[in-house]
Amino acid sequence: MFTLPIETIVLIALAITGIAILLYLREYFFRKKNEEIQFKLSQQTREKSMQLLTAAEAAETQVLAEGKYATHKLEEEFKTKLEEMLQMSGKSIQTSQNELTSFMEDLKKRSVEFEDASRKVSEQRIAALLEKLEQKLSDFLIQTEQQTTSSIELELKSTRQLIETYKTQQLKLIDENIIAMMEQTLNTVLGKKLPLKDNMDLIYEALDRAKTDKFIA
Amino acid sequence: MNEAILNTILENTYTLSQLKRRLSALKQLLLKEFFKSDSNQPAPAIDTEWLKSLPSEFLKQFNKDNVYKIFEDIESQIIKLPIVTIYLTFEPDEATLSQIGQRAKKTFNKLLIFDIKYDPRLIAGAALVCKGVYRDYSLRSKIEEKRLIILNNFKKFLK
Repeated sequence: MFTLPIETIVLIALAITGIAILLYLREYFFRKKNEEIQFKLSQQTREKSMQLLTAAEAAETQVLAEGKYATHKLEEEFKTKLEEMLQMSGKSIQTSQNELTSFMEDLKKRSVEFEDASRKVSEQRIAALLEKLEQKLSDFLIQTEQQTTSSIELELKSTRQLIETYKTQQLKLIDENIIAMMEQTLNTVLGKKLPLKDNMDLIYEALDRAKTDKFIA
Repeated sequence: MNEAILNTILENTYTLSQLKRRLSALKQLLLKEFFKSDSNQPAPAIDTEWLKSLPSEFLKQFNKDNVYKIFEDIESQIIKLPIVTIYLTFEPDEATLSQIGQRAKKTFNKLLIFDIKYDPRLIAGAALVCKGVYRDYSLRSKIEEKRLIILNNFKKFLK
């Protein structure tokens, strides 16, 4: 391995230290100079900024002033146009309203006329219908009355006949019952108590009548 | 000869049942006499009486040879007899039947044989059937004949 003498090493160290100090100093001054330059630039920038801000404010003021005017002008124009449009719309609405009113009146008039005509026709029809209905009702009532009368007469006749038949039948029944009752009574009373002589007389009378009638030839 | 025998039998016989009963009794008597035939059923007393009332000449007309023939003839003649059905309201005894028969013989002046029937609905009197024709001469028919008069009399009470 290569070995340097100590003096050389001290010299090299001193030389490096000296270079380092020189570099430090150089850096120190360089930085100081930069700071000054930066300060100056900063000052300039601040001034320019201030100038710009002032100019901007002035410009803003001007722009604002100009904007206000323009706005005012626009508003005025808009107002004028709007009033014109409103006036036109009002006129148009008024015209339309007038036309609508006129149309409605005309419609109303026509409706009234139509209603009158319709009412007259309806009245005529109803009158004719009522007259027809009245005639038909009258005919129907007459027919019904005739039929009812005829039916009642028939019913009465039938009922009278029925009553008469019933009466006749009942009277016949009563007559038969009277005779049957009489026969039954006589049979009960005479059946076993009639004297033989009387019965024989009746038998002889029967034989005589048979002869008279020439029943036994 | 057979007609004379029948007339003798019918002299006092007035009903069909009497006639049949008496003929049977007579036949029984004669067969017993001629052939010693013994009947199980003796004749009723009433017919025995009638047999005894017959004249002796009447019985002499019969003999062993003709008895069956005579009865056959008589039975065939009975069918031809005029039979009249008579409806009565009571059951007559022999005496009553005789009275009715004698009266009929006298009234019609001819021989009549009655077929006796019972009908209490007649009330009294008699109804007759001759040759299939019915005729009511009873009290019931009299009431029927006077129906209107009777009803009018009844109706007088109803008013």
